[in-house]
Amino acid sequence: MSLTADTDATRGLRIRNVGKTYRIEGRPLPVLQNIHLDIGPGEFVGIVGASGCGKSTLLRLIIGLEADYEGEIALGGDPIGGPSRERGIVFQDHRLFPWLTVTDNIALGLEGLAAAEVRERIAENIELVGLQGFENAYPHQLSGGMAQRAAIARALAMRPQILVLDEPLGALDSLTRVRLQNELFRIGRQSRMTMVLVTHDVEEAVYRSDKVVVMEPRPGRIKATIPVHLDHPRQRGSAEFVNLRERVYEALQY
Amino acid sequence: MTDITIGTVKKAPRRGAVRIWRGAALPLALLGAWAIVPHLLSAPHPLLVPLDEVLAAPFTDTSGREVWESLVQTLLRYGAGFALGAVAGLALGLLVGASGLADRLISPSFNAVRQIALFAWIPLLTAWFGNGEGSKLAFIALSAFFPVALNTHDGLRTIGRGYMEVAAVLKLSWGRRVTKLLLPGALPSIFIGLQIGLITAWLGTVGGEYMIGVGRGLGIFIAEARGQFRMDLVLVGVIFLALIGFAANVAFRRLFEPLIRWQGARP
Repeated sequence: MSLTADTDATRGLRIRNVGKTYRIEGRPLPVLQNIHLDIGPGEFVGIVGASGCGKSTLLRLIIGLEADYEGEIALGGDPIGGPSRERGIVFQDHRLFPWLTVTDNIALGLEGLAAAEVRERIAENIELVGLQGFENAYPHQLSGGMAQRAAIARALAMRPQILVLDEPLGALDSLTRVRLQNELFRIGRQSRMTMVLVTHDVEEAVYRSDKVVVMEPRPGRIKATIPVHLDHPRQRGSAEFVNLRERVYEALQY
Repeated sequence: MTDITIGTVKKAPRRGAVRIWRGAALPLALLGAWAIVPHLLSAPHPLLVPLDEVLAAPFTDTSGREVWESLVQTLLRYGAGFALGAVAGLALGLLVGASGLADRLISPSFNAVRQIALFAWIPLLTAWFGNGEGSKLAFIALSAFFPVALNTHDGLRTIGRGYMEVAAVLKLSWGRRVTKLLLPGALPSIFIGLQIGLITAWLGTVGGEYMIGVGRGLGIFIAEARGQFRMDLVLVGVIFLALIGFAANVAFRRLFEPLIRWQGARP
């Protein structure tokens, strides 16, 4: 913890002039360029953009899964140099270990905690995602939606400061998706968890986010950052909402 | 509590039984012929020992009774040699599978040495360890070592990158990474290695005994019986070899297949 003033600017996530280049067959392929973004603690940020615009790469950089990048990424003033339990991720695919039960999968991220604490967090998060009764099920015994819920529980159980979500609900049926989105959103608000959600769903992004980041591809850049200063729960039909949604759609067209 | 059904294998008992009997028809016919034909000959032929005499030999014949002691010796040797080779193979496979540096340092040599035909090792081993137990154990261990090491390495290499990233994100300690990710992830492949190793070690056991020849064991029993032209005892030995090879495979499956149940409904 830094001793400087505990303001949002120092506690939040600071992304400055970040670029990332992959090498494909020896030739450089820039996937991210000149990314500036500030995310305050407890903020909900939606990132939208066409495929190939580097959304997922940006999340991987925040998590610390990509070592080699230009620019500066810092959380609470500390530069990010690798993964940390302060930063959780839910991938597009659930990535549960197939040889572990739901309980054991969630317990993976709780190494080092007291046994009672581990049990408590597992029970709490299984309930949160509505998987009671499936504690001892193996991933292959779960439906896709249930497996994704278990993956969300695994990430939440670590109680990260930031949770990044790489379109984790895209493959779910709409009913389950809406329910889980509501749950996730509620959890984020309640625990003041910062959330960064990559999504294709513009409506959803505007509905949830404190700001919507619109990205454009080749190379991945931020086209616009659109703040959404509307109180929750938002009225999808209200003039302001429709107006903001149109602004996001406009930014997406290039 | 919701009940979860684990995928069960549907059996068609009638068709299965028919298939078994169809498969068994030829061996049974041969056994029947073996039981009858030698008795029909006017003069016994030394190569054609009646089935009942072969089956009685381990109990009634003085030399035949030695098969039991040979059996015990062979099983001990097989077990010890396989254990040695499997442990060494696992260790090497895990090392080169988990460490890129070890992989680059060791794998080329390993792959070169692996090309040597197994039985070509016998002259070398007997030169190093003599004609006693040491050479035989080393040979059995070596025959189990290669498939186990190879498949362990392969199993680790094919663990999805996605799972490795999860381990990084969850900050798994080194120990947990091994016990919760690397070992279970590589387990199906490790089992295949152990299963092949069990077979090659069995070949190594009998082959080593037969070729090195000192001491007791089924391979030696057969070699001696052949030397004395005791066809009945050779056949006794061969029957035991087949039974043990078969039993080892069945026992292994029974023991270890439950451990990889999680593979269940993989597409």
